[in-house]
Amino acid sequence: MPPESPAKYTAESATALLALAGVEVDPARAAGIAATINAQVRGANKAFVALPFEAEPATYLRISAGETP
Amino acid sequence: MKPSQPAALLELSCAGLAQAIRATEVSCVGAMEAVLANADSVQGSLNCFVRIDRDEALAAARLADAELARGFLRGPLHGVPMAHKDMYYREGVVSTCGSKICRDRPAPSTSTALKRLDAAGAIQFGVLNMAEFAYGPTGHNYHLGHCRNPWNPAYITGGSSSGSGAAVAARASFAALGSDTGGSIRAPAAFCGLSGIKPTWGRVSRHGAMPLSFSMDTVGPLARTVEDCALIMGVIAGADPLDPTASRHPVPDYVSRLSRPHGLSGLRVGTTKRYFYDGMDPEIESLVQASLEVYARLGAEIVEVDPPDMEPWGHAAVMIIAAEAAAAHANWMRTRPQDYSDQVRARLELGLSVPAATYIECLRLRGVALQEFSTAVFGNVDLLHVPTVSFQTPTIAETDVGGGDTMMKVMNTITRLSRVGNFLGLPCLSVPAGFAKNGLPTAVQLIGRQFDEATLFAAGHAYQQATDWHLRSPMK
Repeated sequence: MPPESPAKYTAESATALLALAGVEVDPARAAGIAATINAQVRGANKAFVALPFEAEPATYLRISAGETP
Repeated sequence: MKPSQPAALLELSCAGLAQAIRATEVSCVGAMEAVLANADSVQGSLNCFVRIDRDEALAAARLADAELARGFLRGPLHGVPMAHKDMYYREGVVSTCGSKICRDRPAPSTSTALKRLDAAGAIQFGVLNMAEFAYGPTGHNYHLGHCRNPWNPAYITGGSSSGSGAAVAARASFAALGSDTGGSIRAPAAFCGLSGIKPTWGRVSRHGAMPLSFSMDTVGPLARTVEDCALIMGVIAGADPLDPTASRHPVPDYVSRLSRPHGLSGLRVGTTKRYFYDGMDPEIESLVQASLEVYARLGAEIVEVDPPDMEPWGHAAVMIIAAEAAAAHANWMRTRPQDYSDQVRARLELGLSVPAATYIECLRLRGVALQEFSTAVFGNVDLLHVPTVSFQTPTIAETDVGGGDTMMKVMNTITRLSRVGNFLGLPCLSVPAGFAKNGLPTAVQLIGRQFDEATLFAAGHAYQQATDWHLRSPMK
């Protein structure tokens, strides 16, 4: 089993991050945002843990431009 | 019935109409009048148009007829009427982008895709409904009203190119531009019974097209036939100095490559049960399998492939789109949050909450994922044949979730099979593959190598020569 993501969001952390972006969130929605982020990160985590240390976004961009990596 | 009669004329494909215009069997004005009359007649029930520019379109059609009379042909779409998703800009003209926020905002420049369609002779006569800021896969729009499916107005069109799907299926436009960030061309193509291509990322310039998620956004057509998709892609694809992400990769003559000398003999078509068939509706599955059998009968070799686990990529795709969309909308989210619908505002709030490092992890994953997928799939086959959607078309009421708790479940379910194609940047062609018992169409998507749209078009075209799903009309 891949380890759980260290990013465990809470309603408070989502509210704080949105405040940092200058956006006020309805407190009733903050828990839902946190739950969704946690679910998505958990879902992607299986692939994240297998990522090579050297993997960079530029690799994808280069292939996307039609170049052989 | 002669093509000059409106009912027969409206059933023509773009290629068929363009040919009839060149042969002077149909006038540009005749074609425009027929499509305008039909647009008026379906608008009340489908709500697919945002605006119809009747006088300008008729004037352009008259000019096109005069040009033809003196032997001047603009290009392969001379005189073909089209309306497009209301996010393709014309400088100084309002593009609502399906929103309240942009309803009075003149567009800053003209879209390269529109300029190329203009130069090829197509005549734009209106703009089409869409999800607010192209951020919704169902066809709901809480500002402009929901768009409805021509096969049954109680059902969704799919989105975000909802008006494009409804208008082209209803014979109220001969083709339409859509955009696809997570499935926004393929979902409405599937639900409305059309062909639609999400090209390779970078294949078509995004200049002058409303941005949603810059690393996932693609521009492409919805049309009645694969041949029309090939024709339109040949017009709009290619490098553009105004969009540095538009690839310089050569654009082949897609139309001339539609027919392979030996049919589909030698073509290797991949199939996999992995990911794409999870929880699939049995009726849809049987239609998808029947489609695969047609490819086998046409001479293709069907090969089982074993792609990597795509489930994490689907989650990464959700976070990339969310984060990039939120960044694009950050200013309006600070200054005009009340002008978004609850649903779009909720999704943008979600995007603002994606940690920067997580977003970059998602981007780092893409190169690795693309290499793994390409090796496992395209090391063995020329294209992958999988369903576009795995469920029966839902009703508008069933998916009217606003910004509530079930929103993300509905959004993610609809785009589950399509957004992986955006994550990988690969071309995906959705082709009608039959009808469920409720009378609603369904579809298969063909996924190809980067910049190999030509193989997808050839395979889809061969399939449409052997089947008639694409010829069925909700207007009959």
